[in-house]
Amino acid sequence: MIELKNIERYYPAGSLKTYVLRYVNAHIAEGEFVSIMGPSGSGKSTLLHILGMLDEPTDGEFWFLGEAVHKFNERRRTEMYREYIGFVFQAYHLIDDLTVYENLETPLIYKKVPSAERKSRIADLLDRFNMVAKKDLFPAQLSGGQQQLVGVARALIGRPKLILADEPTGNLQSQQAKEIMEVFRQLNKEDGVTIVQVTHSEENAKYGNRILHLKDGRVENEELVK
Amino acid sequence: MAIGVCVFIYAFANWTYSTDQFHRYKNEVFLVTFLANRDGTLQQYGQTPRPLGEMLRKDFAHIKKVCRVDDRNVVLKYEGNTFHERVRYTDPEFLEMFTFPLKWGTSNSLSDVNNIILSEKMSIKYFGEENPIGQNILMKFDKVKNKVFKITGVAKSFPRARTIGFDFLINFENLQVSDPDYDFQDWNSFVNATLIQVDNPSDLESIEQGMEKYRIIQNEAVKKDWAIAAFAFEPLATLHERSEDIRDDISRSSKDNYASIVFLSIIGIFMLALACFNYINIAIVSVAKRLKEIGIRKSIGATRKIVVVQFLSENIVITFFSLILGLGLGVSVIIPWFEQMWGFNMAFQLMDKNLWLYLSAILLLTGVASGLYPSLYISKFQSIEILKGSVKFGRKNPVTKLLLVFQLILACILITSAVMFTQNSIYLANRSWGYNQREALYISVSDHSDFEKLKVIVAQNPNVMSIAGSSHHLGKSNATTVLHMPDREYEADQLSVDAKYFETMGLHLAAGRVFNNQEGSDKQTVIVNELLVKNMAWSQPIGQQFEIDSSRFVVIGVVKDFHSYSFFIPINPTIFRVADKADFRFLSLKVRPGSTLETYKAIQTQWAVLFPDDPFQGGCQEDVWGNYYEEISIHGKFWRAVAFMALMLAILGLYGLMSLNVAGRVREFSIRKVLGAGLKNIAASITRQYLILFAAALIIGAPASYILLKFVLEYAYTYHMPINYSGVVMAVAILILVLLTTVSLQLRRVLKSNPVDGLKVE
Ligand SMILES: Nc1ncnc2c1ncn2[C@@H]1O[C@H](COP(=O)(O)OP(=O)(O)OP(=O)(O)O)[C@@H](O)[C@H]1O
Ligand SMILES: [Mg+2]
Repeated sequence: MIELKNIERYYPAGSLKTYVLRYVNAHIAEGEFVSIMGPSGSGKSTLLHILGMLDEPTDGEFWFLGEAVHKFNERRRTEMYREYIGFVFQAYHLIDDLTVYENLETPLIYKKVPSAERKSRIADLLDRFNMVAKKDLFPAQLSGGQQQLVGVARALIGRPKLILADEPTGNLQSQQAKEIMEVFRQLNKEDGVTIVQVTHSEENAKYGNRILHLKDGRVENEELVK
Repeated sequence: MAIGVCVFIYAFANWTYSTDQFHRYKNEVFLVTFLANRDGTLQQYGQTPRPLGEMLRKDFAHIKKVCRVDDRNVVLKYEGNTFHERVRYTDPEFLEMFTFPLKWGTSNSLSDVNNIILSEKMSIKYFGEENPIGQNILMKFDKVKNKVFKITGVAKSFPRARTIGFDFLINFENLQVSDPDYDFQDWNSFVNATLIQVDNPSDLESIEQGMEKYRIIQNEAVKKDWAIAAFAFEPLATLHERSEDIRDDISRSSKDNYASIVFLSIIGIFMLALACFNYINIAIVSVAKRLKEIGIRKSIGATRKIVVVQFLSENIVITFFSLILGLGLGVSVIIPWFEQMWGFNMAFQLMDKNLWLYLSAILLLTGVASGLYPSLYISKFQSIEILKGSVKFGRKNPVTKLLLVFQLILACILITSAVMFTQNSIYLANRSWGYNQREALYISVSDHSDFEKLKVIVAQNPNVMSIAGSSHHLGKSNATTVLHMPDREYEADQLSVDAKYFETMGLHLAAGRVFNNQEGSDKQTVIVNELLVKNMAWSQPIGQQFEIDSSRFVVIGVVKDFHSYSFFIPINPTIFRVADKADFRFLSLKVRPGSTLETYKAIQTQWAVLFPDDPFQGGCQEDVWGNYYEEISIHGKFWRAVAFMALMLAILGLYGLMSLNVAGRVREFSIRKVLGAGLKNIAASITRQYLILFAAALIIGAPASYILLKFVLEYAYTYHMPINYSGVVMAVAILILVLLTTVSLQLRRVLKSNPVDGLKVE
């Protein structure tokens, strides 16, 4: 599904370049559940953003389902967001002016899902995450953990083929974190959804079938989870 | 920019109010006027019976000086220069009462009947830059009577802000030289003006009481038609404001200027308001960026008052800078532009202390007005809320929205006015005068024998299709007469013409017939215009009768209404009478289409051969309205400029507000993009909140502009285009275009941005 060839990402710092990612090569097959680990500042979020097509590599090739992402235009990319990708942000990034319900509804509106189906899907998810009571609150009225749950729910709601999650459980109690991981595993196993997550927790990383260890912008090693 | 406009308005108002204020005795000099009942309303007239001046001088000790003024047309000749001129006959006191400074010569020289004083303009016309004092100039009163005058004074060029001026001044006694029959004691005749000067304006009351006996003399002398009700005095200082309502007076009115001041002030206030609104809006939205600063200030103990004061003073500093910029703009661009457009000098000075007062007032007012609300709004927030970041600014603020709506409404009104005024000037340029002005020429002649001589020559010109003679002429002159009917008296304009006049000028006959082209026929008949028929409510105008000066007249024809003196002046009820040949003063011609100018030149040349001593006076009929068309095109220009500025302000406001808004929402737009929002979705979410405001503004603004402009056009123009919706539609279209452009600019910005940049956590 995903093929990365010599991906580089740098920021110009004066006349020098600070490399955040360097010579990243990776292959992720459809149906995989990959965890990315590494120390803070090692480039995990950056890599995930590139996989999510939010950011572009400064060099290298990125193939997605056999198509060259590095040649995509804006419109094609928008289609990708709508049809294939669900993103969970490290900083939640909910829309402040919208309620929980509306936040969940937005991607479905963009996907042109009919209103009745939108309703039932949102009701399902809210139920699954025990957030029915909170549906009319604004993000600012939720705790960090609750916001994160909404962020995860929003990524799932469009039923994407690929879920990219940047520390989806960073702010959750271990119990909640476990539930999220269970949801991911279930999606991965039963619906064949490909999942790439960034995490600091060994335990959560073990939910995946493979762990990529990142250090100083390079893939230091790969570890298969048995 | 708005402040520049204000500076200009100040200059203009200042200029208008300064009218006549340079005269030393502005508070002691009065114009004698009388009130008379005409058509049921009391009218004030600026003329006075001839003997009144002398009587006032004799009878009242309080009256220090008296000056009679009368004007006559003469021909002046100095070496090769011969021109028709209008000369002012006055008592020698004229220059003592009106303290016009002299460039050369002495002002008391007028007491000698052989002396003449020129204006600077006339001095240059005849003598160039030379000092003409001591030169002799020949004045021809008519063909036979003439007199040599010695130039003893040249007045400095007059300020434009004056009501009364002169080209040439000669002693009043000369009236008897030009017209030996002139009777100074005739109560039945008038002089153009009588002015008095008193030491103490409070004496006026007793003088006014003493005037009663003149009223009796006067009313015994004249026919009942012209009986007067009372005398009244108009002070020089305010004459310019009043003269619009005084009939037949010699002073120039500044009423139009007052109306303009009101208009301009309204525009100025609008502009300032627009600018302030912009500022308030942008201040509120952009303050989000300074939230932290405010939060910290408050948390380290600043009270609300301190925060408000800080913001206000910052704001006044900003306003101060814009004031300087605006002043520069006003002085260097707007005032010169206006002066050049209307061709006069407002004598604007920067060193005027009132100007600075005025500017400081604007500074304080706008500074506080635009700064107060934002600062109060900002300071209201609790510092914990601010620091927690849970306060959301600007976007949801109803005041911001209200101001934007208001601004859009104003812009809508001003754009509509620009469009409408432009359309109107195009319309007026094409509007029919009611007769064929394009193929008509006129030449004024001094008497009947000249008329006949000229007619013979002119008739030989193959381009001339018709020749007419008349004592009055469309666009040039007319008499006023009173029609007596059994049940009422009615005042109408009168034109004395010959039988060929209607054909020559292309007047359209609506009913009946024109005069017979036979010597002596139709003497007791008149042709009237449609307006008169309408006002009289005659269902059958032909055959109607009335008396003029005790002799009976019958209506034999009706002509369609026509415009004599430009579209500014309402059509009057008019009658045509047969002119006595001896009274012919105008020869008018109809020429073959397209040959107007050529014929005009040919006749001018022939005239010079025929009457070498008499300057040619005549022209194309199309030019009799003078610079009327120029004037209305200036109106259009002016409104376009105003609308342009308003539009700029509105765009600036909308653009500023939107870009701040969008800037504040980059994160949101980035999230939306990642959630799969396409171009349309993002455009919708940018526009949505403005769309309602915009719709609201247009729903209020469009009808408001329509009604307002209808009112303005009706007020400012006697005749204007039929009012339609196209101006409003155009304004709405322009505003929608502005909205679309602004949105698409913002949209581009959002689309080009990289989502990751928008999602950075600060
Ligand atoms: N706009 C930028 N300009 C310069 N350097 C940047 C920019 N954005 C990110 N970086 C740098 O890129 C590096 C990688 O950042 P990234 O967010 O990918 O780290 P991370 O591995 O996700 O860390 P964490 O575990 O704390 O989330 C960091 O050292 C950061 O300083
Ligand atoms: Mg990260």
